[in-house]
Amino acid sequence: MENISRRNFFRKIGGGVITASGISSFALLLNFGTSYKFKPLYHVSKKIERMKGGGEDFLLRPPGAQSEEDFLSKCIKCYLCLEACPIQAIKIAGRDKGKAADTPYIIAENTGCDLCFNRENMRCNHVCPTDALMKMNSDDKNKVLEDMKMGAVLNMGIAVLDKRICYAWTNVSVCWACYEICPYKSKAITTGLRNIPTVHPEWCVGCGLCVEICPVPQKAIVILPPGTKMEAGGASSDIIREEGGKQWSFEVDKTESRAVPDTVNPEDVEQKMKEKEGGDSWKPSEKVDIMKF
Amino acid sequence: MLQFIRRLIQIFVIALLIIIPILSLYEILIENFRLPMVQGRGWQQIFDFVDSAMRHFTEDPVKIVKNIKGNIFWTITIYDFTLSDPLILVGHIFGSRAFYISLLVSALPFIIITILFGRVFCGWICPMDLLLELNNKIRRLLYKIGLRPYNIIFSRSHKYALLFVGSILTFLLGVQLFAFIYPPAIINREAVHYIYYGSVGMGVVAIAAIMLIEVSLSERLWCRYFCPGGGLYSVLGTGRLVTIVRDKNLCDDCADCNKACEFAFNPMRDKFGMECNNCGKCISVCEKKGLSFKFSLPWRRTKT
Repeated sequence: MENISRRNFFRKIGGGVITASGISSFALLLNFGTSYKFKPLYHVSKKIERMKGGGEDFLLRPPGAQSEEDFLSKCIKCYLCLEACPIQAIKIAGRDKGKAADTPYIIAENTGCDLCFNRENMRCNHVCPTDALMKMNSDDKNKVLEDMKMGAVLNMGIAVLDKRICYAWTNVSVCWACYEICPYKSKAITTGLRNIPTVHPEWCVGCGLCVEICPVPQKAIVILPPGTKMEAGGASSDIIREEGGKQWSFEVDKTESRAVPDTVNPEDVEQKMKEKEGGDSWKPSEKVDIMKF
Repeated sequence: MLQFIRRLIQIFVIALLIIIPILSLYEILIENFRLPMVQGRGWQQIFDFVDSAMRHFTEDPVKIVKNIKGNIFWTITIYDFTLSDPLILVGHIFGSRAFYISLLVSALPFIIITILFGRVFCGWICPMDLLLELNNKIRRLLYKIGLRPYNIIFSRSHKYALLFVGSILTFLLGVQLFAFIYPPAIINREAVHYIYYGSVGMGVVAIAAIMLIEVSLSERLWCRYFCPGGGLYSVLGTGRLVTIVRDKNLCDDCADCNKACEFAFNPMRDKFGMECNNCGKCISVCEKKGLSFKFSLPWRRTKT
């Protein structure tokens, strides 16, 4: 290209604007973003998610993210946080998330964020080149928890307990797993009689560890977006079975689940035995792989 | 010799694209005692090799490796020293409507290099340049066979317009749009994702589409006419200090340099403009050695 004279330069820019806007809108529509799909270990059907109040569009962001809008405008999609995360909790949103394609998020059902408390600093927000993730020092554990509790700027989300299916509340078994794993133990989650857990959202940081450890397949505990209006005091924020109302029935989509089914159909086992005549030990089918995640 | 050094740098940087994510994944696996649990035999061998190589140098490889993250094309962090693409800075300013000083500092090395040497990132570091130059060789092969692929010519100012419109849309929508369409960033992302989770996404399709279009329809379409990053580097390198200068006494008007030029400039008549990426192809092609890099101040240059 020859030396462009200044006048010609601006004239040509005007001519190119139309083509350029065409291309960029095409890129936006096609959303050159990726098409990765991460499934939660137990696929909770969208119906239940909606019943629980968690929007489908809510993405649990890594610690240090401020509001969703703010995060989107600053995240440059460099995947440094994904590289740095020591427990590989950070996954990447796919093309179906629209504007938020290619941005990092956490699937709490698979791996919750452990806030790097046993390490010297928080890896993801220390490596972030922009201020999409604000730098936090995890030396002072209490200060971090104070910064991230409900209502604060850096709050990741709010945990809510579904008492209709919680093993402890429905007397299925004795369980206080969420209490044990909670980083803000005895503040955000307390236990009462028979170690039945109660969630206090006003202290919750939204790390999602309780969701990860919950033994109920449909997850009795869910993370709601930060800023969801809730009253302090615990019990009022939980999902309680309506009195006299119908017991909810939950569909768990086992076909999309990557985890091992909890029950084995005896007919299947017999068929396997027949196929393998003389084989004295039955091996699980190849479709079931535990270590995939 | 010049071209050999340039290729060496490009291949080294592309190797970094694969090495850095493998090293950082290795660090994570070691830290969580999960090295023997890697899926797939090939991956297991790779990580075993990395492990044995690292143990030669230090007893505690985690300490070194955990401080190296990222890729040189988009952003890289080595011991708290960060390098970023200037396009990130532009996108961040428009997207967040604020100014983040440490991002400016991390973009500063590339900005200074561009102001001094012109658009060298494109010619010497960008992985797309190596891919598309190889692509161009396929195109020349097609010419030799007798097939004549189309060569549609667009206006070169499209890239400035794309930079401009992209910034405005980033400002309006509040999403970093450049990351979606900037090929070095796409390559970086897909490589990291493949190594970490074993899957690639639409970015690979986009890059394959660019390569196919360049073979069949238009020569060096993306870099010449559309790349917003290239546009930014061109603007920054307008007053570059190092330029290619022709010695009129030695030149015999053979026009070899014009044929060699990837960007279809006219080195034989000293017509480079601000978009030359200083790759030096014309210099190495010239038999009379009439072309050379020269250091000169922009306001003292005589206009041709």
